[in-house]
Amino acid sequence: MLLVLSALALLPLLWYRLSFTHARAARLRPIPRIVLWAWEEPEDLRFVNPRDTGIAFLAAAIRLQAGDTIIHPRFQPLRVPDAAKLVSVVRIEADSRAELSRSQMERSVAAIVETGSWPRVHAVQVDFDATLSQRNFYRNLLIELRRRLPPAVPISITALASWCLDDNWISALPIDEAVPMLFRMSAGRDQVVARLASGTDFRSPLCQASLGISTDERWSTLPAGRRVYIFHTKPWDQKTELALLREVRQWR
Amino acid sequence: MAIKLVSRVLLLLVALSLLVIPIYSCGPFFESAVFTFQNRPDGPDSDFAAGKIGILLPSFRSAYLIVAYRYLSGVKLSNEQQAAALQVWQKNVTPEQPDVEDDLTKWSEARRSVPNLPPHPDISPYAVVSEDQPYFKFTNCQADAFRNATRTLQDRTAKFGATSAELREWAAGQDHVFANCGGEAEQIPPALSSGPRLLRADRAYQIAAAHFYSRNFDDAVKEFDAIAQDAASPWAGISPYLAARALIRKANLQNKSDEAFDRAVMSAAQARLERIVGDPHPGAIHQPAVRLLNYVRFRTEPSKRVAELGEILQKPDSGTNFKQDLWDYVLLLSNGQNSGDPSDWIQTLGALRANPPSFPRQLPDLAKHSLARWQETKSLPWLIAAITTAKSNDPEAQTLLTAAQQVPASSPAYLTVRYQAIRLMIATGKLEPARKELDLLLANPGIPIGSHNLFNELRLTLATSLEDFLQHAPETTVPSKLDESTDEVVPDTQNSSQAPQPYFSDYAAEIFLKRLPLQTLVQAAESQALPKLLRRDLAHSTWVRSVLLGDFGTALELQPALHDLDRPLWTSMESFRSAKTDPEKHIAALLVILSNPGMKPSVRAGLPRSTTLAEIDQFRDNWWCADMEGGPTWNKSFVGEYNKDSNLKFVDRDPDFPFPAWLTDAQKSQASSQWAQLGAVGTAPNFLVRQLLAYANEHPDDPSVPQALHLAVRATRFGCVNIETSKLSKVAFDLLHQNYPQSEWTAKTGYYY
Repeated sequence: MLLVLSALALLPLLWYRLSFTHARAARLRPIPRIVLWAWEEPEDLRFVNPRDTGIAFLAAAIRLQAGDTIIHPRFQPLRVPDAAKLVSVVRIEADSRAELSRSQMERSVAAIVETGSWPRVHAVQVDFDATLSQRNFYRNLLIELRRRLPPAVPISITALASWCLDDNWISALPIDEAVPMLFRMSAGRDQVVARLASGTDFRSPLCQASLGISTDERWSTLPAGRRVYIFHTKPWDQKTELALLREVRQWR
Repeated sequence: MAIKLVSRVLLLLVALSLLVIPIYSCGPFFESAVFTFQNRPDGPDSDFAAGKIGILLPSFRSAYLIVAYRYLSGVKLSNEQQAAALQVWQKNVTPEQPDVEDDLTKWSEARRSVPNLPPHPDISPYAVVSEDQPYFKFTNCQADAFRNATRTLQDRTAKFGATSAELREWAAGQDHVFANCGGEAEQIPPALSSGPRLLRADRAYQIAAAHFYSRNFDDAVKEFDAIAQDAASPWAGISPYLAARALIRKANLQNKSDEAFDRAVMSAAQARLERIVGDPHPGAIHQPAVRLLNYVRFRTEPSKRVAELGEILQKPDSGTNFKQDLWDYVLLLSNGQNSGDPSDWIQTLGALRANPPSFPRQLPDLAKHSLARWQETKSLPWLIAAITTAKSNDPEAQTLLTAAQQVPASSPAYLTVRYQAIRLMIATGKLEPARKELDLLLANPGIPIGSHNLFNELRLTLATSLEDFLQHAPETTVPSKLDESTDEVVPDTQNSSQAPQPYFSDYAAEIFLKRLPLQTLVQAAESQALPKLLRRDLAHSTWVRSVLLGDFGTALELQPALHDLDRPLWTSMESFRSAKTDPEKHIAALLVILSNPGMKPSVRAGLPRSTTLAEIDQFRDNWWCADMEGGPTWNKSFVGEYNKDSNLKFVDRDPDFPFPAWLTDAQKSQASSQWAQLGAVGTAPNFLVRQLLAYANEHPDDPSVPQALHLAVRATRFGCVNIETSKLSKVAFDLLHQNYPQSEWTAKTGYYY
């Protein structure tokens, strides 16, 4: 009897979890399971098969300095297939003296929203490193971004592995996906390796559907079946892309 | 009963909702050992920039070769030029651009000082390159535009007064100009027919600039030309330069040809810039015009420009643009431009690289050309090219060797010339003098590791005995690391204090793999000439070879060496040692191999396997592939729809690889026969499963069979597989489950692969 009661008590949690996951998954469904990050390099990605591979391209970089909001667009060419499924990525860097004012937030949001309206763009991704004192700013920014973006456009963020492991501040954000960044991790790497190797997933459900890796860092163990964003330190070529597709398919 | 069922269902649902079962795998990124850098020097770049060239390989990048050419020609680099070369080698070549945002902010602040102006319009300095490509932009209004406007505002404030109508008019005109920066709207300020002459001149300039930013380039050129004719305008001096810039933008942005730019328009810009540069009274625009002209000629006259740069870069005083000139030169060469002696030399060496993208001349032509150029010039660069391409039967081989002998040890060419001369000495049969000289060079501690390894490779081919061969078989690697900014493996100059580890070189590993008979390999494994770790690798691989060749006597002969070198493995071989019959030895040996995925029939060149002998490597670096090589097996497996032919059969890529001269004919014959037998073994999982199936069918009651079958199925998952492996995996799996259903090993074998 006790067992039954315990199980019944858990049902709302189960229902919430399933419905939440379903809504996120539905909005993200157009984005393929493998996504190439195209950073600030000349990229000719017309070789990509849009059915199985998406492209997350750096669309703009925003620097918040004191009271200024400096928006750098992408300067490098980007060629994509006509049917490409794109994610526009906006990188935000706030220096320690940034005021993080409402006007900075609104200008940043406007710049991100603009990239979301470009042809072939199915989602936006915000790439940022938030210190504790900056978290409120980014939370408000994402709330405002959600309000201003069309409802069908999902919001993805890149997440430090620590945000996904124990520090759960991202759980309440109005986003569809947080991509755990499993590269350039320095000190935290061992902890993440041990955690994943032990079969323990990231704490935040938002982090459980995707991974961010780089072609130049070796991982001996990685969970399969997730959307994988892949960073390459130089312009992509078909050979590298095919080798990675082959490898990632082996994960399943 | 119903409650019990519901509770079970709920329990199951809850469990499922919380259960996460990740499946683990791996990434394809590996460290590699570098014995010699093929495309760059192995020491610090600063040493190379200072003229310490080491052994120059034809495969060096042209950015290094052009600097080497200069030193070989007797012209050193100044400190500034060395710094510039370092930046080019590190691909740090983007000119430093002032931050447009800073100057835009300063302009906005300066504009606020003008009273009674409308609110500051939002200015974006960036515009999309074309409507069909909204994803990237360019800086339409650059920093100097805002800086110039700020300066002019301050000047006009002083002239007209901060509250004057003239200043407001000027500022309003400037707002029109900058409204075009974002590329979304066209705003041309109205012409002024009255007012101060200076204000009218300013307005004419603003109109021209507005046309420029709104991409009405023809109108911009017309307006700038008109201003240039107005001697009273403060903008007359700069306008010819700006007219040329307008044409360059037009050539790049409004290009309708298949080329990267509109050639006719770019040529028109070039003609204008040449007029400015040739002006005897050029004024302040001379240097900017020179740089812009270089930019244009890089595109319009690449052949002339590469010859010109080749000469400029060889001058002791190469001017102030050394870094840009060096980079332009390298880019032009990489685009196939070839004109002038340095580029001829670089292209000639470049053609010697393995699998060059374009092979301009065949090797005999290269040798002939190099020799002719050396005979004409008697220069060190061409001596290197000539001796590098020379063959043993060349009539001029001796002449080249004599010339090489005269290069002093102090010359930057010394090590390169000696390396190629010794190679030619060996080819022409002068083995003893070559060996003596190599021994002297190898004893010199001042030789960089990569050059040392190159000399050692030559010395290894001149070994006189097994012991002599083993003395030279290990080489130390050049400390290296991944440069994340360029994604290249580069020398790790910070790490050079660490004691270097010896590993088998590629050449030595190939000799062990293909050219030594079992008995010689046993002697090698027992020899104290090798470091212990390499002896252990050799003992492992020789034991596996002897098993694959069915030579259990040799496998037993190796036991004392294995006892010394790998006690845990030796202990695990007890059942092999105690087996009475060959079939018993066979199954015991197969179990040892199956239990130790690191066992391969060949030694490993370079870095060792990253996991221990008994551990499964997640990157499939387990057992061997059809090629029998001892290196990593990643990417050799058949996977999904790719590489259907991969790993199907053995192919000896270099069947003419020579035997060491110190082997007897009988040993050579034995080695050939054994190598042919090994070639027929095939990839490990298939071989091991087939062997086991045969044994299990004949000895179904042997208690070791279930464990062996379990391990064989595991090998089909983690080994080097081909398109046939899955079928064999299923056969082994079925046999295990059908014949040994109660075995613990059957319970552990849930799947086939």
